[in-house]
Amino acid sequence: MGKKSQIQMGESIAILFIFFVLLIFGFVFYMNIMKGSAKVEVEENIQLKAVGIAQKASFLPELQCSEENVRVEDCIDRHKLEAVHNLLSENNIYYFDIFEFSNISVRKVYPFPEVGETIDWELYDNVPGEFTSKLSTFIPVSLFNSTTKSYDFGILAVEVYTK
Amino acid sequence: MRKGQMEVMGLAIIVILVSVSMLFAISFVVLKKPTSYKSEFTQTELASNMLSTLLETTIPNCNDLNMKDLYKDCAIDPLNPQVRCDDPGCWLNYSLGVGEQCTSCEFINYTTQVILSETLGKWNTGYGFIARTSTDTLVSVGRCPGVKKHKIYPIPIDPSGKNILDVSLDVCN
Amino acid sequence: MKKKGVVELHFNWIFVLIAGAVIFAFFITIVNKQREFSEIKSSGTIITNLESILTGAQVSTRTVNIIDMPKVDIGFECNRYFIGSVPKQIKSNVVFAPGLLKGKTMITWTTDWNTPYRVTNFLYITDPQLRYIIVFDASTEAVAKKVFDELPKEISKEVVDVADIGDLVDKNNYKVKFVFMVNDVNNVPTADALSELIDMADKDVTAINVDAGTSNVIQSTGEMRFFKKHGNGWMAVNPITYYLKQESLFGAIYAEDIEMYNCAMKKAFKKLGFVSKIYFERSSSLETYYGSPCSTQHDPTHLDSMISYADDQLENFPDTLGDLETMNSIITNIKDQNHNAQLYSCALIY
Repeated sequence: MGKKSQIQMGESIAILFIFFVLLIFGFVFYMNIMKGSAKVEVEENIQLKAVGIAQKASFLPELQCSEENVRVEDCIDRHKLEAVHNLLSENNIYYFDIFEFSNISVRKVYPFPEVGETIDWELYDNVPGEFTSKLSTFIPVSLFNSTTKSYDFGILAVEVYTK
Repeated sequence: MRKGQMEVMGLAIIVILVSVSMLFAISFVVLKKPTSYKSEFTQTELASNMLSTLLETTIPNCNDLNMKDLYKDCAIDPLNPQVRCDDPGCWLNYSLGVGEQCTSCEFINYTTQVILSETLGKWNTGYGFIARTSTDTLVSVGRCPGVKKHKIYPIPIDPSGKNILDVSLDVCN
Repeated sequence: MKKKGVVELHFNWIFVLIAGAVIFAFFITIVNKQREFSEIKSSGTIITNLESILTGAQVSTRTVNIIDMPKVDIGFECNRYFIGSVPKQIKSNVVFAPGLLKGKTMITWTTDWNTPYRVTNFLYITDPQLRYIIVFDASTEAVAKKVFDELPKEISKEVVDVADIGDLVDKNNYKVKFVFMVNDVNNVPTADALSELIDMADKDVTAINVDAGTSNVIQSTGEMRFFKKHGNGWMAVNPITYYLKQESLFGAIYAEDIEMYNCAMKKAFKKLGFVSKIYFERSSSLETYYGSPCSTQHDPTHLDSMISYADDQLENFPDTLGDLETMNSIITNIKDQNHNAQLYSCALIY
């Protein structure tokens, strides 16, 4: 091969090299963009999961108040509340499908408690040893006492953990 | 212009166009903030649940009336409300004398503040609560400038339904 | 000189060939990766949508939703669904759906299952391309029309007299489900139903024969049998199964086969056991709290029986119709107790 041809070959290889470098650069850039948008989606999914679990907790038939089977919105039956903790802990695997890694509790805020009155109810507790995020949702609910027919002001706290 | 200069100009334009499109791509895709489903849901739920739950709450120290009844009583005649509440917290708050009791207006002011500060206040969530008729403002707690979720709960205060008490809550970050 | 030129020319071609192949391979790899990525991404989008539907189904009832989806096959089993090859657990949700949805539109319907208190929501999923044909005879016309009216208007449904069944025409649906309400459920339905659908694959034409009563009210419990198309006739599927409340009858209409139906019903019975335990505890504490007459209205014996029967059905469903009839009478007893509690101004049971 002559010198001219060698130079031509060298040119071609250099062009190809630059072409591939640009292509790889573009590809890496594109992948980074995709990674960024995937992260956004993951974040959105975690939020959706937290909202979903909070909704499921507030609409649970095991907790909700009803009047002749008509659901009362944003209301938890005090008498059901006393029983539900045991049910949820005895059937932890079943309720894990619904509440996953989360902590669900109810707290009475008003009227102020009398001495010895229970104001905190731990309903479900499945907190992982290590987690990457924790999202807390507080839902104001009425705590209905069916014997006195009174409504107290309470908070349903739902903390959702992501491993 | 020489041919070489024209080529350089063309190249420069291409480079500028590519850079601008890259910038757009970065601003739209990389810097895109995740849609905040949770805070949307939380604020909307908070505003509506807080109002309905608050007004539904039964007050044992006010003849087992609920907050809605007390708001109504205060709205009918704010200067001379009919209902009295035997509530120690309210009594202390207004430094009343022995044998005196809070009026419904005093009670709703005190209780609304207590409940909101025990909840939204503790969670560092901004709020603005207002209860007013066409002539009087009965309760006003907090302020919520800027972006907010607004919930209003109208309570008719006379049988004709002409006079309305508007109880509203704004929730903001 | 000439020889040197030939070598150069050949070498150039070889070089172009190798470089071209490398570039070609590079792009093919990228395209393949991108295709895989976008498939997973669109599956993920559908999964997110379906998860939201499943969550929504647990919190709202009596709602019909029409959802536009990317054109992708969605397979349903009792405990999981597949989008393409991506599986996802249905978990404790009670879902009745055909085995395969091919359409671009999905129709979801939620109802609440009350026994007599709300236990769980049933989610029914179908596609407007699926055809439901309710067949009645002289004695069941009223109840068949009631079932027809209860089903959402958005689905492809029709109600026909068994005498006119031979007039049915093939509407090119990819699945057809017959709901026979004729005679004894053990009787094999008429093969005339299949005269125009004979070319459809056996797995795409299914039927149930339901005993829903003869009045214009759907009875609370009853027997039903699943059938499969077998050539130009029907083949009965064993065993016979049952429904408790009309919502579970609708479940049988939507379910692909008896396995999916029974499995979904077992999930419902499991939840019934849990919810009944809560009501049992609640009534027990109210019974202790109250004196007569309210304590009598909160006697938890019926709730206790409901727990036992629910646990039994969880293991043995579908066992006998008698069990479900007993459960139905327990439901009536609890309803009466609740009504009495109201009459005596006691706290209600539910």
